[in-house]
Amino acid sequence: MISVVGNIISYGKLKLDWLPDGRVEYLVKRGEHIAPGDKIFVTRYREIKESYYLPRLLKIRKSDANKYVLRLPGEHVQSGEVLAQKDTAFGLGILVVDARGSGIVSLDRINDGFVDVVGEEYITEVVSSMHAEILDVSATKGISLVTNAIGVPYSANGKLGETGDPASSFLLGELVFVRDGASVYSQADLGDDYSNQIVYVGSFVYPELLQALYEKRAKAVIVGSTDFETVQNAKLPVIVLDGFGHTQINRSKVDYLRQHTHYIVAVRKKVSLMHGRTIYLLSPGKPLMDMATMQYPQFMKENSISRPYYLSQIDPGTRVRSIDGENYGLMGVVEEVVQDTPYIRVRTDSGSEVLLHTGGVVVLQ
Amino acid sequence: MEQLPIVDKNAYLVITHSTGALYASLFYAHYDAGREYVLTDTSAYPDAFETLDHSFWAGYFAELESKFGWKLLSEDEALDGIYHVDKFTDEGTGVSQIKLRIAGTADNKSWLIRTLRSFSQDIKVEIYDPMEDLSKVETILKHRGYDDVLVLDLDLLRFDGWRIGSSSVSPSSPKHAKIAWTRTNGRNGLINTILDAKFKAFLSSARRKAEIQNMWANLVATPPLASEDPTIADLIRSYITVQLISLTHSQKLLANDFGLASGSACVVSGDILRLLDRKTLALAIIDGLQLKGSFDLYVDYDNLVQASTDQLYAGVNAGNFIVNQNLVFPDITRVYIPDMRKFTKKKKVVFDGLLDASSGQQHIYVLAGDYASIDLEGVAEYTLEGSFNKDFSPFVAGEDLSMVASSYGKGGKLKQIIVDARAKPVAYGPDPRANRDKLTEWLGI
Repeated sequence: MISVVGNIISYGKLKLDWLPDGRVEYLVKRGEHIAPGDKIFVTRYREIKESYYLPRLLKIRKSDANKYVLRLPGEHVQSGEVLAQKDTAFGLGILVVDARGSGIVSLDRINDGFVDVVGEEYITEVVSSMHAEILDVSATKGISLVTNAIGVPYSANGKLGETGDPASSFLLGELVFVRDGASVYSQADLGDDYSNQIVYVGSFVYPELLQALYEKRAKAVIVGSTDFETVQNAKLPVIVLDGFGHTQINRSKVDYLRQHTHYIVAVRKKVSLMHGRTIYLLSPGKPLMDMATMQYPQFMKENSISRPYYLSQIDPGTRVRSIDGENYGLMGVVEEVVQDTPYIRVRTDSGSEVLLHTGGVVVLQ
Repeated sequence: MEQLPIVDKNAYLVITHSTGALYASLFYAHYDAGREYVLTDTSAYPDAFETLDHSFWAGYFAELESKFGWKLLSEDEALDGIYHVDKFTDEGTGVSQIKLRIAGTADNKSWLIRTLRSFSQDIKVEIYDPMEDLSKVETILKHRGYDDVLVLDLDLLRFDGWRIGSSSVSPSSPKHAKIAWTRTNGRNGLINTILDAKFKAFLSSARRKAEIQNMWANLVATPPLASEDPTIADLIRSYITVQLISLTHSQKLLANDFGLASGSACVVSGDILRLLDRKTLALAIIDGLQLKGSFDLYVDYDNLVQASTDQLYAGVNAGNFIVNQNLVFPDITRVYIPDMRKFTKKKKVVFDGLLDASSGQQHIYVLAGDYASIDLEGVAEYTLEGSFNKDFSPFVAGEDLSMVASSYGKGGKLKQIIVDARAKPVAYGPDPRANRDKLTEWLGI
């Protein structure tokens, strides 16, 4: 029995639409070729200084949050001024939400239950990290572009998109790491704002950090592993790289992503049998048409080009990863293929020795 | 005069596919020497079709050549990346044909064919109609003494059940039911089923809820082809049970009265079969389909029946290769589900028999409340004679209560006999602990 392992794959001519957050001024035109360093668009937005989640603070339903807000969007508030309030106990008591700092009231996320106090408007210029051809620019779809990409497979996702999303719908953002991503982090490790960014949050994540990243406008989160329930309850898209539970993380994949910090990455909103679970690093350092010279049949050039990734031969020295139950995520090197049985003896990275069924492992490159 | 390959020796490779795996079967026969065998491989499918391309097929066939020790293809001298099937010359070199069989109902089959064609023009692609295949399987099994046939294909992302037959209890026309996650929410949707109360009702694991959810999510996200983990077995048993219940709800005639005809056969295939043992699989099928009576269970781990349906149907008239049925049909698990309506107390004998093997004799008793298995694997020559208590017959009224099985019985070699003498209907729950107690009693786990 053989398991095909998802490895890093190159894609040629990946078409996608990029609709940035905030008020956007596009600096590219249809038909243009862009290269690393080219300015793509400018966004104007205000940094969130404070966020207040009214359903928790006032014990109300999210859909009712708007009813209890006492401020208008754009209004300036000082520290200590009331943002929202709710009468309790038939008017005998009152629950109040005060501003912790001064700033401008934003109700952009009131439908999600949030009142934000934002700072002064500032402008961000987004610079390309890729070679791409601009197919179209429109207010509704944003920038339609075609580029090549390196695909890094992931294990599972949550909240990426809706059932009705078209297959071509992508979520794009700048890849950033919380510190070096090698540990488990808390809110104290986060930056101030993650607008238009996809954040690698570490080898494991707890719900509190996801909530904080949501409040700091992260576009999506990538994590080594986490609990199924955490993904279920998250308010923002979560991409689980290696699996659920406290699994051993495939460091080489994380290192590869880390090398591409600040590159633009994309993930499909709708994963299907045709399009798998992949983080696309858009044209990292290669001119758009580099891959067209590869020796593949014509139709392959126009669709997806991949380098051979199919590995199955399990011999002593082969590096494997368990995908079976309690051993899920365990990585190590095959020491012996037990003759006439489906078993292999594996020396794990932690130095222990385990007997694994070949049908329960994947081969790693 | 040169002999035609079909009457001398020949080799033939068939690849079938499911939503989760590719099954390869290389048949070899040297008719004059009476030497024939089949080499098999099950390989997990790539997660996404877009990664299934020329290099996938090149790697796949290279691995098959290495595993089987058989030269199958050679690269064209003029066209880079285009491969030709090596003509059969002798054992280990070439085949008369390589065929990829794809069900007409399969998703993304055009992509499968395009990518295969970019690799080789020689490999034959056959798109078959599963219902037409089913008629052929019925004919094949009729020759083996069965007149009521249930075919189950259990892939993680898709369950199919078909029923066909000419017995008094078979439906008047072939019936089909399916549950496919491939066209709804795919793996994400399937992962979320762990939250479904119906699914949880069948679980027996003592692990924490979060651990079970994580293990299920990992299992769906990256399914293993085989497992040694008891929690995975528990999840798969529960999943099969609840899915089969849903299949019977969507098609009531799928399993209605199946097992009450004297010749009933259930052929089960799929990519999750190796995730639990045969005795537990039979339990999940019995409970999921709420079966009664008796039937022969063929657990087709290598998808050999689907791979060779055409050859088996054509028999000696097969144009390219004659397949010996004994190579294809796996060992049988014979299942008896006595009528336990008169079950009032445990310890009452339901079946009393004597196994007479070359190694000696052994009395076998099955008591009311038991889920018992008699393991015949490795028993070279035997006769098993016994009878059911008249109060607990698995047969229709008036039929002989005796049961005789021998190493050379109908339909092939018996690997195992299961007698399910549990009180019916079988109730699960109300919690995993209660399920665990019951499963420990039934399966001894």
